[in-house]
Amino acid sequence: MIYILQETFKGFFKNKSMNLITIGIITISIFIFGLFIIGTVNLLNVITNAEDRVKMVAYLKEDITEEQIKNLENKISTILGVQTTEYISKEQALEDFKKDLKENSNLLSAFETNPLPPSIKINISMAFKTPENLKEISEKIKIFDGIDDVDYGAEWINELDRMVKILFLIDVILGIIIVFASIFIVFNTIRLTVLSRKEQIDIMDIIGATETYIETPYIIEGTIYGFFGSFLSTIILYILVEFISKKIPNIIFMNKNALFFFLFFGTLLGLIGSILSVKQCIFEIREIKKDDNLKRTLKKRSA
Amino acid sequence: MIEFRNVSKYYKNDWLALNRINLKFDKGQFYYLIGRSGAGKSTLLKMIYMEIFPSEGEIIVENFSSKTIKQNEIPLLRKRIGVIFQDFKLLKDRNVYDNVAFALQVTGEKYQNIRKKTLEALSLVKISHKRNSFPYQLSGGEQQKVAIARALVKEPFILIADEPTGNVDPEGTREIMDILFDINTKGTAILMATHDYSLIKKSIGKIIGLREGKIVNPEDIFKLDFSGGSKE
Ligand SMILES: Nc1ncnc2c1ncn2[C@@H]1O[C@H](COP(=O)(O)OP(=O)(O)O)[C@@H](O)[C@H]1O
Ligand SMILES: [Mg+2]
Repeated sequence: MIYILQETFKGFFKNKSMNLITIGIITISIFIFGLFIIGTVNLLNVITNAEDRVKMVAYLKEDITEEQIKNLENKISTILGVQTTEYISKEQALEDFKKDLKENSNLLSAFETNPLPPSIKINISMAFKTPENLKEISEKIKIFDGIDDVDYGAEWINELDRMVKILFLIDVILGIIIVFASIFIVFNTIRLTVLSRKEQIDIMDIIGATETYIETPYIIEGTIYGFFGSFLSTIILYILVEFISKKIPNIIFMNKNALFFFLFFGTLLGLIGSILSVKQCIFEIREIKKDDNLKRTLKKRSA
Repeated sequence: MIEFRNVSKYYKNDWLALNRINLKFDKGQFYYLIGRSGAGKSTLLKMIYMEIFPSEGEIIVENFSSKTIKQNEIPLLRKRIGVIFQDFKLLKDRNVYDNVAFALQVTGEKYQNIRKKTLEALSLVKISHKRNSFPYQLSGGEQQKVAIARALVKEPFILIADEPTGNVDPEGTREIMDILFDINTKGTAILMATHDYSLIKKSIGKIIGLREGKIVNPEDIFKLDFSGGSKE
C-alpha cells in the first residue's frame, strides 16, 4: 500500500504540464455540467414561481348563509389535492379590490352596491397543478350547493403546462448529452495521461506487477483530478453566479447539498473515467503484444 | 522446468512465426537460442513468460499451463521468471536502486527484506556504487547489469535474456556474459537468445537452433546463417 501511494505521488509530480491540462479539461467539462445544473435549478425555480401563482377561486351565490359556507369549506378541504381554503367575504373582496386599484378606487363609486361576490380561495398542492387535475377539482367543487362558479385561469394554465413540458424535454436531452460528453471527455483525457506512461505500464506488467498495483495509482490520480476539477469549476461557477445575480437578482446558486453532490459527481467522474481508461489501456497494451501488429510485420519484411 | 508441446504461433492469423516446436528446458542449465533476426527467437521467449500464447499446442512452466492460466496468475508466473531485453526496459523516472527494489515491491515482498535483497542483487552484478544514478547516466552495459539485478532479485528459477548484449559495447558484453555464466553456476537456468555466435561458449551450454520458426540443427545455422557474415 505504501508503494502504491508512492507511485501515485510520483505520477502526480512527473508530468506537471500534462496534469494541468488534464485538470483544466476536467474543470471545463464539469463547469459546463455545472452551468447546466444551475440553469435547470433556475428553470425549476421559475416554473415553481409561476405555478405558485396558480390559485383556484370558487365564487359563491349571494344568498349564502354562514352555516353553508362552513359546510362548503369542509367539503372542499376533503377533496384530494386541496391544501387549504380561505373564505373571502363580499366586504373583504371589495377591500382587496380597492387596494389593487389604489388611486382609481373612485371608479367603484359608480356602483351603488358592492358588485363583488363572496368567494373561497383554494390552495392546491404542487403535484395537482396540472390542467387535468385542476379541471377535475374545479368540476367537483362546481356541483356543491351554493357555488356559483369556479375559476382557475384554465387557458393560462394550459399554456404554462405546455411550456414546462417543452422546456423540460429540452433540459433532459441536454442533460443526457452533457453527462455523456463529460464522461467521454474525462475518460479520454485520463486515457491520454495513462497512455503517455504506456511504456512504464508495460514494464511493470512484464516484471510481474499485479493489476491492482499497476492500476491503483492511476485511479487515485484520476480521482484527484476529478476532485480538483470539480472544486475549481465550482469556485468559478460561484463567482460567475454572484456576478450575474447583481444584474438578474432572482438567480439562485446551488445549496450546500447540491454543492456537495457536485463535488461528488466530479470526483466520481474522475474515478470512473480512470478505472475505465486504465483497464482499457492495459487491455490494449496486452492485446497489441499478444498478436498482430500488421505494420510491424510489413516493416520487418520489407527491410 | 519449461516444456513446449507442439507449439505453433501465427501472427495476424497467417504469418507462421513458430512451427510445431517441441522443447524442454531443465533447471540449472545454460541454453543458447540461436538464429538470425526474424527466426522467431523473441516469439519463443515471450511465450515462456506468457506475453503471447500459442496458436496451437501448449506450454508448461512449472505448474502453469498456457491452456489454463488465468490473467491474475500471470504475475505469479512472472515472479518465477527473470527477463532481460536488448533495450533494458528500465524505468526512466527512478534510480538504479529503485528500479531493482521495484521488482520486489510489485510482487509483494516484505518491507524489511527489500533493502537487503536489493543491495545483494546490485552487488552480484557489481553495480552497487551506481545505485543512486538514473538510467540515462549509465552506459548500455551498466544498464543491462541493473536489468539483470532486477530480474534476479526475485530469485527466479530461470533468467531469460533476449539479445542481452545487442546494445552493449564489447567490453560490457564480456562483463554481461561473465555475469550470466556466474549466475548459472549458482544454480539459475539461463536461456539466452542471440544472433551473435561469437558469444557462444560451446563447452558451457546447450545450443538450440531456430530458422523460420522451426527447430534446426545448430550446426546448420553456423554454416548457413552465420558464415556469410549475415550478422545484423
Ligand atoms: N507482434 C507481431 N506481429 C506480427 N508479426 C510479428 C510480431 N512479432 C514478430 N513478428 C514476426 O514474426 C517473426 C519472428 O519474429 P521474432 O520472434 O521477433 O524473431 P527474432 O526475435 O528471432 O528476431 C518475424 O517475421 C516477425 O516479423
Ligand atoms: Mg528478437
